[in-house]
Amino acid sequence: MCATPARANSVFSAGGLGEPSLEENARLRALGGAGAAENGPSSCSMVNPASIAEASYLWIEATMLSTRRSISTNDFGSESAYESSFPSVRLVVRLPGGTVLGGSYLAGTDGQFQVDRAETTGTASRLRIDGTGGINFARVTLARRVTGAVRAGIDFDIVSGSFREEWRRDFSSPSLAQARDTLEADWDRLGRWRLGLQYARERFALGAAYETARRLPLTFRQRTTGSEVKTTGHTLEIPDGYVAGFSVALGGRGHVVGQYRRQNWNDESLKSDLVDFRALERYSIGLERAARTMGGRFDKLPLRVGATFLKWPDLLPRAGAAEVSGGVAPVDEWAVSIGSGLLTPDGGGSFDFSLEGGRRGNQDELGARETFFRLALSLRVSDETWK
Amino acid sequence: MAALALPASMLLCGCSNRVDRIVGNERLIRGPGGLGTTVGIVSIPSRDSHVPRNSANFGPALLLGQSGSFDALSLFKVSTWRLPALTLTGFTPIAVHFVLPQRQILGTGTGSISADLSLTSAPWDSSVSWPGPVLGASLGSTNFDFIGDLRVNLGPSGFSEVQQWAADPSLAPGFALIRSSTGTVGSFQASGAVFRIFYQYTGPDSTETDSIDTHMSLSAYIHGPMSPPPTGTETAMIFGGEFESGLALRAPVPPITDGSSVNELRFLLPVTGTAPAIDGATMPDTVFLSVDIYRIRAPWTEGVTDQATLTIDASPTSHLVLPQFLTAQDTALSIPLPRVLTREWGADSTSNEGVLIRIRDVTVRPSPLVLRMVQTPGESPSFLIGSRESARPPVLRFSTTTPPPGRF
Repeated sequence: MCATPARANSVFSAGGLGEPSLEENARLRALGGAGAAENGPSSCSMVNPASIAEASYLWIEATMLSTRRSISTNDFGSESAYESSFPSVRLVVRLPGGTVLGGSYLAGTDGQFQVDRAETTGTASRLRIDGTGGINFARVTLARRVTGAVRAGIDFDIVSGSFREEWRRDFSSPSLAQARDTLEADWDRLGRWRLGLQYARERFALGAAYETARRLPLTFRQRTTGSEVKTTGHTLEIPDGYVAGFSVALGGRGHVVGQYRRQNWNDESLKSDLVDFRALERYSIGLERAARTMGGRFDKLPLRVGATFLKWPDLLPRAGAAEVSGGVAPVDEWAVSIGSGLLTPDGGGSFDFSLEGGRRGNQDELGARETFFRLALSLRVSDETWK
Repeated sequence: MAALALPASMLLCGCSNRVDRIVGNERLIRGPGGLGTTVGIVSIPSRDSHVPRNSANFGPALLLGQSGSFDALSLFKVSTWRLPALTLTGFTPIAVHFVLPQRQILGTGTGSISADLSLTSAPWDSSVSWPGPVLGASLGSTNFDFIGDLRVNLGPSGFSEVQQWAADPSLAPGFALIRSSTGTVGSFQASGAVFRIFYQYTGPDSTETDSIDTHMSLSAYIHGPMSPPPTGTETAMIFGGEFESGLALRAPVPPITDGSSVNELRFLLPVTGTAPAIDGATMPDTVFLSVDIYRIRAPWTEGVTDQATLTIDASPTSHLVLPQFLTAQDTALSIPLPRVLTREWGADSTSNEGVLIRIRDVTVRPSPLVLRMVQTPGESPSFLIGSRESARPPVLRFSTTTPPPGRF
C-alpha cells in the first residue's frame, strides 16, 4: 500500500559525522535515554555494560525507529518526510556461573543524506548525491553481579561503518556523458573498551561507564571511470567518554532517572576544514510510573515521560561560510518523550513504544532548522516467553 | 496502549505523497573550491589526412572494372573441387561456367563490362596488392551488361581442365577476373562465386541434366592506387568512396587532474561536400554510417598513401553506428571516441598518435521503394571533410569534470 520507503535524513548529515543516534530501546527512549543506572532481570541499557548483569537465561531485543522530519531552510524552502531505521539489536544470554554474555549491533551516527540541485559552475548540470553510512558498533558484553549491590560489566566495541557518497552529474547536452563519482571514507576495524559499574539498592541505583579512545587510520577513496585516487595518512579518533546516571524510587510505583553522557570529541579527533568538533554531551531525565497488576485499564500500563538535551559533536560551518575558517555553529537538540509498554505475564518478553518530539539546529546560524517526531518500537523475546 | 500506538504509527510510518526525501542542499558545504567543475575544450588536429586503403579487400563486395582513376580486378582461389560422379550411366559433361552473381548496380547500370577469366601463375594470399599476381592461361571471357549473373564459359575443354585441377590443385593456384573494357565498374557477391559444371546422364526414364557447384575458398578484389595520391595538404579530405579512404587524425589532449571524470571525447568532422560513387551515384538524402575507430600506435606523417603503412591495432578500439545523417542539413559528422583515451593521452602525450576512422558500411535509402540498402564504402559515395588546412577544420572536443570535494 505504501510507496517506496521515504527518506528523511537529517539535513545536518550532509557534513560532519552525521546524526548522533540514541541507541537505547523504546522504554529508555521514553525516559529521555537515561539508562546508566538501569538494572534488574528484565531491563537493560546500552550505555552501561553492567546493566545486563541480572539478565535471566536468554533474550533478544530489537528496536525500530520511524521518524517524521520537517526542515526549514534559508535558501531551499521547507520539506518534510519520513524514514525508518534500526538503532540497535541485542542478544543476551546468561552463562553458567552467573556471567552474562551479550552481543549487539548499534548505530553510532547516521551519515545518510541526499542532494539534488542544479550546478552552474562550468557547464550547467544537475547534481545528485546519495550519501550513506556512518559510524556503527559491533559490541560484545560481559557482565556479572560482583556483590549483592554491585554489578560490573565490560564492552568490547568494534568500530565499523564508513561514509560513502555517490555523485552523479547529468548534463542537458546528450553528447556529454554522465559523470559518476564515488567518495568513500573508511577506517580500519579496530576495537575499544567500555567499562561499567552499578550500585543498586532497594530504593535507588547509581551507574556509570567509561569508554576508552581509539585512533583509527582513515582511508579516503575517490573513484570515477578509469581513475581511483586513494589518500591515506589521516586518522579518526573515537574519543574517550563517560556516562553517569541514577535511578530513585518515588513512592510505591514511580521512579525518576537521570543521566549525563559525554564523549570528548575535539578538534584533534578528525582534522578537516569542513567540520570542527566539541564534546558530545547528552542530558537525560525521565519519570516512570510502573504498571499495577490490579486496577483499571490504564493502571495496568506503565507510563513514562522524559526529556533530553543533546549537543552534537559537530561544529559545522555557519550559514554562508564555505568552511570552518568562516566560522562554525553548533547543532543543539532537545526532545521530550512519552511512552508505555506491555510485559508478558512471565516478565520475560515485552513490547514498548515511545513517542518523541524535538528540534535541532538554529536557522540563523546554520541556515536550517529541523523538527522531528519519532516513534520507537521495541520487541523483546526471552526464554521465559517460551516456557 | 494499542489505541495509542496505532494512530502514532500511522502518523509516523504513513505513506507520504508530499516529499519523498529531504535534500541537504542547504548544508552541502564542501569548501571554497565548489562541487566540481565541468569544462569543455576544443583542439584542432595537429595532423590530419585521408588515407586510402590499398590492400586486398575480402569484404562482401567484389568490384571489377574501371572508372576514372579507379581500376579493380577480382581474385579467387579454390581449395577443394567438387566433381560429378563419373560412374553415372551415360555421363556426359556439357559445360563449365564461372558464375559471379551481381550484388548491386552502381550508378545507372548502363553499358557493360568486358572481362577475362585467367589462371594466376602463382598462388596469392591476403598480402596480394595491385596489380596482382602474374597471370597464366586465359580460361574465357564475357561481356556483362549488368543483367543477371556474370558468366564465363570455360569452353569445350573446361571439364577436362577442372578434372586436372582437382587431381593436382597446384595446376590452378588461383584465378583472376580482369576487365578488358573501360568506363564501368560492377559490384558482385564475393560469397556467390562458383565454378558450375553442367552434365547429363541417363536416368530411369530419360536423359537428366544436372549441375554441381564448386565454391571459392577465397575471394578478394584489389584496386590501383588513388590518383593523385594524398599529400596531407588538401583542404578537403575524402572519407569513404571507392578507395575506402579513412581519416587519420591526431589532436593534442592536455593533461587532466587525477580523479577527474571524462564526459566527452569526440571528433567533429565538418562535411563540406560529397563526391559521387564510382559510376556516378550521388549521396542520397539520408545516410547511416557505421564506422570503425582504430588507434594509431606509432608516429605517422600527413600524406601517407596507404593505410597499411599506419601502425594500428588489429581490431578496432570501437565500432559505432552513427545517427542518421541528413545530407541536406547536417553539417558535421560527430564521432565519439572511447573516453578512456583521454586519460591515457593526457597522462602521456607521446602515447597520442591519434586514430584512424574507417567506414565499415553505409546504409542508404536510395528511393522511396527501397527501404534500406547496405553498401561497402567502395560502393558508395564519399564525404568531403574539411581539413585543418581549410577554413572549417575538424576539431577534437573533450569535456572533463574535476573530482568532487571530499566529505572531510
